[in-house]
Amino acid sequence: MKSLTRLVNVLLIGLISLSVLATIYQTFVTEDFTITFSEE
Amino acid sequence: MRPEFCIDASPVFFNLFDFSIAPPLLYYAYIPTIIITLILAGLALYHNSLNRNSRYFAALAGVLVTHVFFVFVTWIAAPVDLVMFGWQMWPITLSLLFLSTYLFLYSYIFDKQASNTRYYSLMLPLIPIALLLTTELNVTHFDIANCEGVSHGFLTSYTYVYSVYVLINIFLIGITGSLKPELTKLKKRQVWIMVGSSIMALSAFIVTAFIGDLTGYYEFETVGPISMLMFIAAMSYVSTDYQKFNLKILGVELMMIGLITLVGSIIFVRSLTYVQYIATGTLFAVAVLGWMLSRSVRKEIESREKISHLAMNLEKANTRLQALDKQKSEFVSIASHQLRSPITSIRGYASMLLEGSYGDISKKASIPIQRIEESSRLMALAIEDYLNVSRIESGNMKYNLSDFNLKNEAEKICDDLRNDAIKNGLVLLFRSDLHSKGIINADIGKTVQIIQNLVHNAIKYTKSGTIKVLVRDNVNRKRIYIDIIDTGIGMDTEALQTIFQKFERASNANSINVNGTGLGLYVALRMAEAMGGTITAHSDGNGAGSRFTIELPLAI
Repeated sequence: MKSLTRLVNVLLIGLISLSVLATIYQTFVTEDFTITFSEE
Repeated sequence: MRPEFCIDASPVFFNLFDFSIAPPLLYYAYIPTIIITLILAGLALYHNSLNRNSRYFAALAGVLVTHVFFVFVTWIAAPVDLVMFGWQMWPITLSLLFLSTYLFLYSYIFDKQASNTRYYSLMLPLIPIALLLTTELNVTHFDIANCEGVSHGFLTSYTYVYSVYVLINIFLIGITGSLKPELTKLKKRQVWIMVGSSIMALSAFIVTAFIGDLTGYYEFETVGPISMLMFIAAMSYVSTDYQKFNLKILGVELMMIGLITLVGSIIFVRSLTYVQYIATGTLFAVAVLGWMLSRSVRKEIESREKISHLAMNLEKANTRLQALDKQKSEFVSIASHQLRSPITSIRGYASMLLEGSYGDISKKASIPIQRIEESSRLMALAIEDYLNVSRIESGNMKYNLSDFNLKNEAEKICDDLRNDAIKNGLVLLFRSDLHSKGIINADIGKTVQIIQNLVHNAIKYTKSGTIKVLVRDNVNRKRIYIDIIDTGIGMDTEALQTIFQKFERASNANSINVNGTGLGLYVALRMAEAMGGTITAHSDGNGAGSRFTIELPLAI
């Protein structure tokens, strides 16, 4: 039970870290986001 | 063409920031928050890095610093990528801030880790946030004209809902924590301070962000970190200074911090030189006075706590002493009972030998037998004293009250003891000066014992002269008095104060009589008190004689 809890914890923290890394990759490397000009 | 920097941005510092974009309050709010939070987290870890609460506190501080840092970067960054990155990170850092606050509070209040159910009920809802962070459900696009992300997507709403969900859970911690019967009043108060301030600080975060999202005026968000800084300061105070935690000290210190911040901000906000001078002077005065005030409050509280701690220890020691005294009395009682029977036999057989019940004894043998008889008599008296003390102290002394004439009893005692007085070359006189019949309601045996004891003492401690026993009364006060006045060794003031205490004898008593136990007067006084009377002693000093007065209630 304890090792299962640890595994789930590692997975969750891993997922959060991955998502942050993915954001960094997307923003700074691929620059894959839409840029719009507002009407102002 | 994709622009590299925000429009109108004038990037400095490796082309990363434009410090002119952000409102001035941003720098006052965010930079101190980041620095102070880092210092407090470092202090918490330095104080006790192995402690779970310290580690949770450091984690909370770390997440707060990260969140505030990203928001700060979003405000002042010049490159489009960096601003976009700050906008995208907002949901995950905010959610983690709420979660870490919950985990710290839970660990601190209940002194254990949150259960798996609680932990996962708050941790699992983070999965959608992590999965959707890079998608258009988070920041839909980048508005280059205003240099900001547009995030009216699903994830923003989801983050608000998640935040409220954690806030409700924090509130529930407060309720269950304050209902715990084993928590002290102080700790319960702490629970509400922590829960209340965290809810206020976190609410400030989401409310200001929500208003910013709705109106587009993101300046409101600068309030969030300030409130969070105060919360962090309170938490670090509570967790590192728990033993000395006191609401009054905290109140004084918070008031001083508030005043210093207020006066300090005037120096920066006002541009007039003389106002700045006055504000600087005031700031200095407030800081010094504040330090003195908080120190005096702390000292006072510390000394009060010390006194209450000492009083508690004293009470415990007193209870223990009482128990020991009772045990000692029981021991003396048992030991005395065991000694009494053999002594009675020794005395009886010695008397019978002297009286010739076992035939004639030689004169040579009669001297040691007389000594045996005399010593055993003294020993029996001493044992009787010990037994009386243990009976008095255990409350087992029985008093058979009846009406009798005290004057007659006192006169009989004098008649009985006159021979002893004459043997010692003394004159024993009896006088009475009564306006009533002299009837009292008391235990006749005990009363006789008291008078005998005092007259005996008078005979023992008087080398020459007269012993006078005077019975007198005061009908108005319904009291009868027996004065035993001698011309003996007397007592000094010090001896008069202690003579009725257990095992106490006047310093000059041993020079005349070495056999006393120092219990006779103690027993006599306790008996007199139990019968509604008292005994007092008076002497003009060593060699000036003594006067003992027995006072008892008249039965009219």
